[in-house]
Amino acid sequence: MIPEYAWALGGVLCLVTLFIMIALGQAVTKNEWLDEVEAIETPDEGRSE
Amino acid sequence: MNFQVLGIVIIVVLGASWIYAGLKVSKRVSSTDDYLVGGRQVGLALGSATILATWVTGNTILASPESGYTYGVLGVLGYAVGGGVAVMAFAPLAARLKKILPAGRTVGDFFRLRYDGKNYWLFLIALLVWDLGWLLTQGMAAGIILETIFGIPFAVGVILTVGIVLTYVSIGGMMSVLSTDFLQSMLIMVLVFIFPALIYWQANPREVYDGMIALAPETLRLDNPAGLLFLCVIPLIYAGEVFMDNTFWQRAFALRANVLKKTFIFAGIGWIFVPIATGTLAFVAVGSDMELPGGPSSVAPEVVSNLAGSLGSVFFLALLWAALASTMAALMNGVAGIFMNDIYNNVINRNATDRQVLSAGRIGTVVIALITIATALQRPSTLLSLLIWLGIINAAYLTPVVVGAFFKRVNPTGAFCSIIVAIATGLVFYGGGSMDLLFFQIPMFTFPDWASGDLQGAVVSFAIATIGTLLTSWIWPKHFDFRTMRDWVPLSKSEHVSTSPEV
Repeated sequence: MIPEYAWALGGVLCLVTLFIMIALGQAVTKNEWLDEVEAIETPDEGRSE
Repeated sequence: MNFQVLGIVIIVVLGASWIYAGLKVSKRVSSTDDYLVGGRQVGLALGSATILATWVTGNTILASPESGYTYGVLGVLGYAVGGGVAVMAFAPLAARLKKILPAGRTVGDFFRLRYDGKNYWLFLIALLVWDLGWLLTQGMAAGIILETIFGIPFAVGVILTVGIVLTYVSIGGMMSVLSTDFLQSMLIMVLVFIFPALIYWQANPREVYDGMIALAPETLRLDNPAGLLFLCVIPLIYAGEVFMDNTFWQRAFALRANVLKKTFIFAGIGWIFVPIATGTLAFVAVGSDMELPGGPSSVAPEVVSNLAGSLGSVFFLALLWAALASTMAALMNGVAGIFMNDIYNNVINRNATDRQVLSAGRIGTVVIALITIATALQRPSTLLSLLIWLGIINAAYLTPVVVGAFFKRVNPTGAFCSIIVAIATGLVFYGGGSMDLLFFQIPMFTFPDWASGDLQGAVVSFAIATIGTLLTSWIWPKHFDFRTMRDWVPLSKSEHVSTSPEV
């Protein structure tokens, strides 16, 4: 195999890994974060009223 | 009119209009948030324009033709797609940052709150070197271009350019940058389509294509190994730049939450067309066997001086100067932000009022501009090497930034050690077996040519930082509560802060 192709494949794998981490991060935090926001915002809303 | 005078007239006319636009909105700056994140209510149009103007740098206009000359069609594609994809990939991260750090102003805030002291300081040093280095290349490029095309003395070109940008950025900060970026991005987008058309009108596309087939057929091949390597790895280097650079983080904090993702995606798509348009200029040089006394990096100015004529040269100068000035303005504000927010308010004077921090930022902007002028006038030859060298460091920070923003159980010490090992190993690959520390090398191994280079170094750096950070966090997880970031208020704004930009 031509070395440049191997490094190019390595670059693609790195990019795929980066995109997987971002996608996974979004998926993991989507629901979890909403719960935390509610927990924080409830007292704030009460105070402003 | 003499050509030199014409060049100065263009600079003065464009500069005066930007100073007017910048100063007009500077009256709205009443707080540090206004100065650094434009009041946090920036919408889609202004947001896309400012990201586009910041990311279309002097390098975009000058280095994309160089990539096309060196790697052919794949070089132009790699340059364009790589930079565009990097901005688009930042969109989900920016949306997340807005949620977890609504009062954030700089990337330093994220590193200080999310990681520990050693991570923060290591990152801050790397960031300052990166942003200052980038700012210097823009200042030097302005001087070189004005000197090459219009015969304006280098020192005059640098001082004029930095002085004009400084005038509006120091007073209005991000507010002025947003205003001028809009004008500059419109100018760039119009000129970037007129200018290559004008060149090809002169050069005849058929003759260019036939010349490429006859003289350098490999530049048209899509399986060119060197071109494929560039195409596949350059997005990683660009992503490292975008994910680490403070100017992008400031824009993430400045945009309204409901348009944030869309804005970064639109800006990334829009950006792709700029290097494609300018990069194709290289094919004229390849197809006509144009002599390049200054090497491949001089391909754009050579094509301009050979084919553009007076009108084309004026278009080229306006295009390039708008790109340089907009990036310079964003970087001046970005570096000033690190100084006023991360160094002044968090180290030098933790009890500073918002007004004191704002004044420190304005003074800091002037000092940064003076440093830029003083250093650029020395014409340091290592500057471009410095930016390429820093690409290895940027690649090492990608994973710690992403996992730190999304996941609770990242081990800060594991991330820190992984970054150090990744950078060191990446620099060994960059230096062909010797650890390249720019001013000297530490000989360690002897690598063959195919294993040495900046692209190879970036791949190794990213891979090691990723494996190390993930593995250490999996074996020794350390829990982090994101609510500490969400509830955080900058020291100077402890009494009042607008942390709810949601509309």
